Amino acid sequence: MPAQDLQDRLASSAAAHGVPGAVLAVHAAGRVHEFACGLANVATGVAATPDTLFQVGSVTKVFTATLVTQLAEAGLVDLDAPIDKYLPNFPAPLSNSPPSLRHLLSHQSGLDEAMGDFADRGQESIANVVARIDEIGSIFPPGAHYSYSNTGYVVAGHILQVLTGRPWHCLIRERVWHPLGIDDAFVLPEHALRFRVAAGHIVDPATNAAQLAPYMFAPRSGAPAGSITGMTASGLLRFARLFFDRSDGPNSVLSRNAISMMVTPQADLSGQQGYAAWGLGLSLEDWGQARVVGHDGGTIGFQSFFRMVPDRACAVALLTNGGDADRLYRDLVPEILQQICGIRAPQAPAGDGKAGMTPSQLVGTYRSNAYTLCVSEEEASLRGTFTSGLGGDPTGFALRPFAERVFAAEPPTLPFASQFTVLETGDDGRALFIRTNGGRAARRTEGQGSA
Amino acid sequence: MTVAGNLQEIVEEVLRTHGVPGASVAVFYEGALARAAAGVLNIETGVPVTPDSLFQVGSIAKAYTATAIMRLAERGELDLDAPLSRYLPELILADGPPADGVTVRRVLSHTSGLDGDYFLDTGEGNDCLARYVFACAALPMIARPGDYISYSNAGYVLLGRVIERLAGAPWEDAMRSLILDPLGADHTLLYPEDTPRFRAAIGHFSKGGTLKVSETAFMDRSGGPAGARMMASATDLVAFARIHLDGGAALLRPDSVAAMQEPQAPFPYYDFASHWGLGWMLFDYGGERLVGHDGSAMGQCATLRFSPRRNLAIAAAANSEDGKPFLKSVCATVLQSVAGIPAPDSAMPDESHQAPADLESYVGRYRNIGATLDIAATPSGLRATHVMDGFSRALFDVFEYDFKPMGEDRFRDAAQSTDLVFLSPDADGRPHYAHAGARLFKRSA
Repeated sequence: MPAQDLQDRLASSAAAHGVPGAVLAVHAAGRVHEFACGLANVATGVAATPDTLFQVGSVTKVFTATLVTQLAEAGLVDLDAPIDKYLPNFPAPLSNSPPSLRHLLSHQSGLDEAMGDFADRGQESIANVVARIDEIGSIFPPGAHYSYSNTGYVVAGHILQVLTGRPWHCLIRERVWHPLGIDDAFVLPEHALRFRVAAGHIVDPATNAAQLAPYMFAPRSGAPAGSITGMTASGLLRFARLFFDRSDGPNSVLSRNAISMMVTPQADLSGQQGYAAWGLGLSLEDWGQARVVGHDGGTIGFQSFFRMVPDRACAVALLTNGGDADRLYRDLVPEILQQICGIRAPQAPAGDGKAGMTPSQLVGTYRSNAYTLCVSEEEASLRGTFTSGLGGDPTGFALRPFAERVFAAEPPTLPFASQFTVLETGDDGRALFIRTNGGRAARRTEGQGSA
Repeated sequence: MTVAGNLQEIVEEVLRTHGVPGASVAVFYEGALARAAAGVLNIETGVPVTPDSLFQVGSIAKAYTATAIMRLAERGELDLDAPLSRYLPELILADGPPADGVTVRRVLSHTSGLDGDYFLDTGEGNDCLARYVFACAALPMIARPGDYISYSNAGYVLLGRVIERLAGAPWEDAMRSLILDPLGADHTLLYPEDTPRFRAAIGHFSKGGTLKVSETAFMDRSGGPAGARMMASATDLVAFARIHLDGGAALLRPDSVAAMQEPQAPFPYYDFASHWGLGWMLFDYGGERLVGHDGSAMGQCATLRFSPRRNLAIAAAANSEDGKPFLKSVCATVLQSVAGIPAPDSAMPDESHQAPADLESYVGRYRNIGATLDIAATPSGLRATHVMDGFSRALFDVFEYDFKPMGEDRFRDAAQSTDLVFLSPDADGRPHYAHAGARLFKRSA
């Protein structure tokens, strides 16, 4: 796509989907192309430019995983050892043994989510999450399933701090960003002032009217999982080059072996949400014959998308500050990768309408800290009621068999909870664990199933 | 002249001559507000300054802390003349528990004798002030309570902790509920996490003649009540000053407003202010009293001046370490042109230009917790070398001054508009203290 076309497409698509500001950087044929549109902040009217820093949310997990991998390469940690080796007394509520770092990085720890405290600004905020890990709890035993866990990354960040004696926010700068020349980035809110920074927005989907998000940052305790980090799109591409070059020079942030470890499938996702699997800190997708690795990020008022095609030395970073950014991604990124790499995005798996289970096997209540799903049987059809762990009104929908062990919500009101996969059934055939298409598992709870 | 008509021109003109990256000015006079802005927030991003842009206001935050203390005193939660230790019983200084003479009032007017430039990283947590109080076990007294005026950042941090304790909230949250929210100050921030909401300026330092963006955006959180982190638009500063013009508006009682502007202690010289009130600096502009405060932090500076008699207030802020001459010039120009107020009287009375016979008695090393002042004799007066300690050493150059005698124990470096006074001579005529830059330095050698 010629550059001017891409600039126009970015601007028109962002406007159509209520995205206040967006920055796109494309690494193709050895060159970086940067595009920007809209505003960094609708209240100040400052324009988004290629050098504007956006919060990248969970893309940060790639860097936390990079740090852990560095420690593993240096022989300082064993990725497969239960983490009570590094954090004595770390609990193992549903099994004999706590999760390993490999479990944490590939979202197989079973650790449930924690509600952060906006007022906990101290350096201790990360350790404070670990201190209440018992109360946070687990959904399933380590290694049993995949369930996206920010808590797992906070624990990994804490282990990094304990083993190195350095704050996580220093490690990411010293050991990942600085060696790669990524100095246009911040990892603490008090560093944001140094740069042209985007603010997050809440956008009314009916009118596309944008206003500033109520909080500029998520709680600091989630920093290793991505609650604070701000970066430029081109800064992400400077990291991506590691995956193209795979050099083993003395200054390399990741060795060839370490990169191989990160992109090796750890948890099979069989196409859910388009993901083939999860590696260490990276999502893995199969676009035809090509492996696309990367990460998405979402935090208060921001969404970001980072994709690398290591075999073709291509990468794309799309950073946004509000609106329906998923649709902006779908409008642009598959076409860009098709043009620069000749690869096609995988189609969402089609359902055959057969779940291979009877409704009664699904009836019940499933719970995690992130949500509660109540499934009831009404006149021979299934009905689901979803309540977010953050509070708010429950959302009701019909549940229809979609594919093997998968039920779909109708209407699909909630994009992150429009399909539910049964992960495991008990001896009586009843579902024990389910997972949303947003990647979050919940466990059957006994007792009253009312929402 | 009308303020609005010329303010933008004045600011642009003065900005050009002073080489400051960006600035914002607001003036309230004759019931009207005029605003002007020029330059950029950050020389690297080039984002323009607007009248709504926020700058670090530095120690002007002390006037906010003082106003909060006055509100708490009005509610009967605090007695200005009570010992500070009544509210901070855990406070132990390097010399032991503070004397009862270290009262809230004296801390407000910088006459408590607490040494001042004690900056400490006690973390980003909400316990940062509580920790600072314990760290004051390393903070000495520099003088007996009530004897001298000596600017104390540490004293204001401790007042911040008093506010936290009485309000039951972190200092920043307490300030929001006690002052900022009632004032409607929606372009003032105390937490760095709010910077993305605004056009907010970064500081600049001049290194080897080249202006550079400050690598560090904010000082440590614990310094907040003394001015480490507050950012505000010039408009919000003027709105705050108007509390103190309007007899307190709805925030303070008129007697509290008057008490804050009542001289508590005179300065031994004139380069800084003529007196200190409770939280306010008092200035002599050719016989006319103006009230206000100055501030600077991480390569930014700001100034606030007001005259209750004329119902006039001006605030100016700039994002350069070297912005003070700009602020001085823009304020003088505006005050002169809108209200005919002459420039402040900063000349030390010229009692004698003769060098005292014995300059040797002044020679020596003088120190406080933040800096060292080395005094040497020259044929024409005294040479002073000022070296900062702690975090400031990396940011600031060593300052050299050439002081000429101006009278008994009084010296002036006219080129740098800096005064130096020696106090408390011993039996041999050797002074115990040097006083410069609003601070006492105690002889150590």
